[in-house]
Amino acid sequence: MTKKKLLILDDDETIRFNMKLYLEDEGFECADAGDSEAAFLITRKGGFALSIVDLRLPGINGEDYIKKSYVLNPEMKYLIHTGNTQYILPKELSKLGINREDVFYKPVESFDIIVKKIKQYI
Amino acid sequence: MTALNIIFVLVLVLQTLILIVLLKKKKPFITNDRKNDFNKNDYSLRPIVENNIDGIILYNKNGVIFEWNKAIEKITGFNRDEVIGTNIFHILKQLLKINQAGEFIIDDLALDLINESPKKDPSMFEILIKDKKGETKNIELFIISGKSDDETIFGNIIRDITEKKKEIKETYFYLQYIIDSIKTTIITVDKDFNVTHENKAATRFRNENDPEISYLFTKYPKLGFIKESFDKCTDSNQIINDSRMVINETGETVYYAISVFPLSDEIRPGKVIMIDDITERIKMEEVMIQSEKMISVAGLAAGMAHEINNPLGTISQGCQNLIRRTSLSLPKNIEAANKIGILPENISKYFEIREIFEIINSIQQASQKASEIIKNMLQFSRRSESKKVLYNPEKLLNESLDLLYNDYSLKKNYDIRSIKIIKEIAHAVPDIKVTVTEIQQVIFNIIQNAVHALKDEENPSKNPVITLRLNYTISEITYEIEDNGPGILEIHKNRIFEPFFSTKEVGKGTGLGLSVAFMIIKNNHKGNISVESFPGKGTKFIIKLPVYGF
Repeated sequence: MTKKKLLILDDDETIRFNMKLYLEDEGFECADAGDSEAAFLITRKGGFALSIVDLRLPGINGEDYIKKSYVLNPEMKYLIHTGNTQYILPKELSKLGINREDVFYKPVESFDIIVKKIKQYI
Repeated sequence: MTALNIIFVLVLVLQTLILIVLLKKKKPFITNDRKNDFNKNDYSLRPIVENNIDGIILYNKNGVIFEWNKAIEKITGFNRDEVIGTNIFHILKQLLKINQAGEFIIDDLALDLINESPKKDPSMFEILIKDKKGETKNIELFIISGKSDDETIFGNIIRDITEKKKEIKETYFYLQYIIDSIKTTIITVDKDFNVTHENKAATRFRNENDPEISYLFTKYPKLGFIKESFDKCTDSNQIINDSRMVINETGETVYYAISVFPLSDEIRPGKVIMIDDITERIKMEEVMIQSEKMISVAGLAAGMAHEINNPLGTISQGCQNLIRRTSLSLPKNIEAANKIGILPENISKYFEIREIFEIINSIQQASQKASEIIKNMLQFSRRSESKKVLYNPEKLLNESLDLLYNDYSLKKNYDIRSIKIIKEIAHAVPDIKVTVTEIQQVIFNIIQNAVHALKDEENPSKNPVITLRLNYTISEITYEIEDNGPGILEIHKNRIFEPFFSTKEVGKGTGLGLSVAFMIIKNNHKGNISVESFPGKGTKFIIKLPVYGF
């Protein structure tokens, strides 16, 4: 079985760093990007099964990233990881197969729930 | 001789003819006939007198009335037949003798008659008369007289002005009513600064001890604050618009807008002063600024929360990483420890001995708490969309209480945990349909007030208790929030829901909390909010909200 890669898209470097450590400890191979443009460049090469996406990003925001990325790579799954605790998932994203359980609000108390979700998808 | 005689006779005849013609022409002017004419009332100007719209009385020097027209019949109620040939004084006494002014006129007329002195100009009086039926009328009375040939004729022209007077009076009262209804203080003064007019609003500035005084600043001792504007108007003779802040006798700050207008009328020069109490407007502006501030703070909080949640995320994740990277369950950890010659067990042992895990745990807890505070703050500052939802009243009460425990400003000033909170909640309280944030705000506000009362710096309560009760009937649920603090003074009790009313120190309360609560409960939720208080024993707020579906 080929190792499926994860992409962490967040403009906060410390978030990316810690998340990567945690997920790598869980045995996942991770790449990270600070903005959507960089994320596109990375995922273009293929091999990514899931993206963990922050919403407020410089340039193309998280929602738009998911919409565009979905067109390029419809197989990829998405988790949303946001600091906006009042965020409500819009219908456009629900249509792409993302549901409320795929949205995580910062700070996440126990990262195990994200890991559990990832394992459920890949 | 015959020719001379003929001429003589002709001249004689001509002379006789001329004489006859002249005599004929002179006849109407014969004085002897005149009196008879009057008595018969058939002199040529009679119709004009008879039909004049003003009442006309004519009498001779002996006061014997010989003319009494239709209009005077109507005014006095006395018929022509009753009065012709009688004495003018007899009738005037009946008409005029209702006050001193009337008697004065009678005296005046009598004097004229005795002296038989015609007046050069007609004199006019405005007096009251009582007609035959006893009805009082306002009249204008002109006294006229004139000498005709050998006789002096006297007369009175009387005009009924009762209706006119009534109209003027009504107009005056209407105008006064209008200016009295205006909240603006209006005062007019003459050139010597004596008050000529004032409206009702002006009376509050007056010196009640001596209402007779007319000098502006003596009459209104409380108007010292307009002096400067008034002087400016005097100096420049131009309209002056000013505003002043005044601390009144009860210590309240009042704002006034002052206008002084010069009256340049040459006959009656003076000034018009207008004073408006603009305190409410100024306060309203302050509130608007305040609420705008609040809105921007709320916006700021929302933006900030987002930003703060990111570092909090790192803190939380970092802690989780720390714990994992020191645990023995990860092969990589053991590998790394072995590589540098440390027993992996010793690492976690060391951490245990030095309580490093507890430290990490406390960091994690702190970050969770911080995120909880932010979440509450966001909910509270969010503008209500007035979206009503079915909600459990007990849950609502508990959430409001949580909000209070997280209220930073409250925690900073008081140890809220030293207050005993007793909850008396009925079983299975039915749901209510409410805007959750609004009701939370109300309960939060009232409990906050209770905390402030219990933790008053000067007079803190010894065993502070707040009792929260929740009960219900078939139609409504009732929240009771009771404290055992100092209570509300009777004089304050009726005013606590009034906007801007606050007994808190300046800067500590806007005086809006309870008025907003009142609006939310009464207007937005068709409920009821009231207060019971006993000085020294405590205060109880009662909120009633309709049960959904009832």
